Amino acid sequence: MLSIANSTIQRDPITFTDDKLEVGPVIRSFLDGVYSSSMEDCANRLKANTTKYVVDFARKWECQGVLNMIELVVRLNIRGLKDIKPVPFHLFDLFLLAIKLERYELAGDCLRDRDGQQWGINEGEEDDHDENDKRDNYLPANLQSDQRVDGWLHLQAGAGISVFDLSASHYEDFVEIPPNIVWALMRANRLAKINANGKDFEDNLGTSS
Amino acid sequence: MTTADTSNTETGTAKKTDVKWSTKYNDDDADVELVSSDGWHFKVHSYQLQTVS
Repeated sequence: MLSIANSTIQRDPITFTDDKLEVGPVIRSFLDGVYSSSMEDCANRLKANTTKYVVDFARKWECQGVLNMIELVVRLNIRGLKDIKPVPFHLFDLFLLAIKLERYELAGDCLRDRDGQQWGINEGEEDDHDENDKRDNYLPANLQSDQRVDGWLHLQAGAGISVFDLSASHYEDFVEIPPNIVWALMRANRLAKINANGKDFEDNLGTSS
Repeated sequence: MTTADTSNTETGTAKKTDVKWSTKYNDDDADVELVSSDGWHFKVHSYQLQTVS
């Protein structure tokens, strides 16, 4: 725990040694969370590339306040509520953060059908944007209502790649996903393809006569 | 980060051999100094850290 006993004494510096977790960008992002004046302020400060490490850092040093703040921001974004300015994270980043936070029901909410959306291949228009632009297609619906493809939970428009296709994820993300979550993602993708092809769910599981 | 050299990092501009100070978290009134494993120094207030612990 990053607890300080007496603020009137000149202290030695607290030196961190983990060369992956306790590096400058992560500590700075952690401090951004510490110094956030509100949940919205925290959401504005969060960065997709360091937040997952901030979760690990805050957990290591038992800073539950920062974890709570991040969880609230992730929760509101995944559920697409309008109470908060959405963070510019890819849905997959939010999914990974939910796993990091051990909030599996939130991770599940990334996958579940909502608002009448169906799992399936999105046959949207060809996308001639670069890769970064394509990632924007999967921002929460309330972030880009005017550009929302038919089902941001679904497969990537024009490219035929699922948002949750593990083979499309970065290796460093992939290796951090627990095996049970890997299985669930593979299963979800399989069912998405089955539904997209209009086949009966039970037929494909081999349980139908 | 405070700078005396030209190597940019995500946290700012770093001095190659000297102490690297955060420009954002470098309050003279702060009573706690944090040093990252890659040499960045942050000065923060203990009461802020206590609010999240």
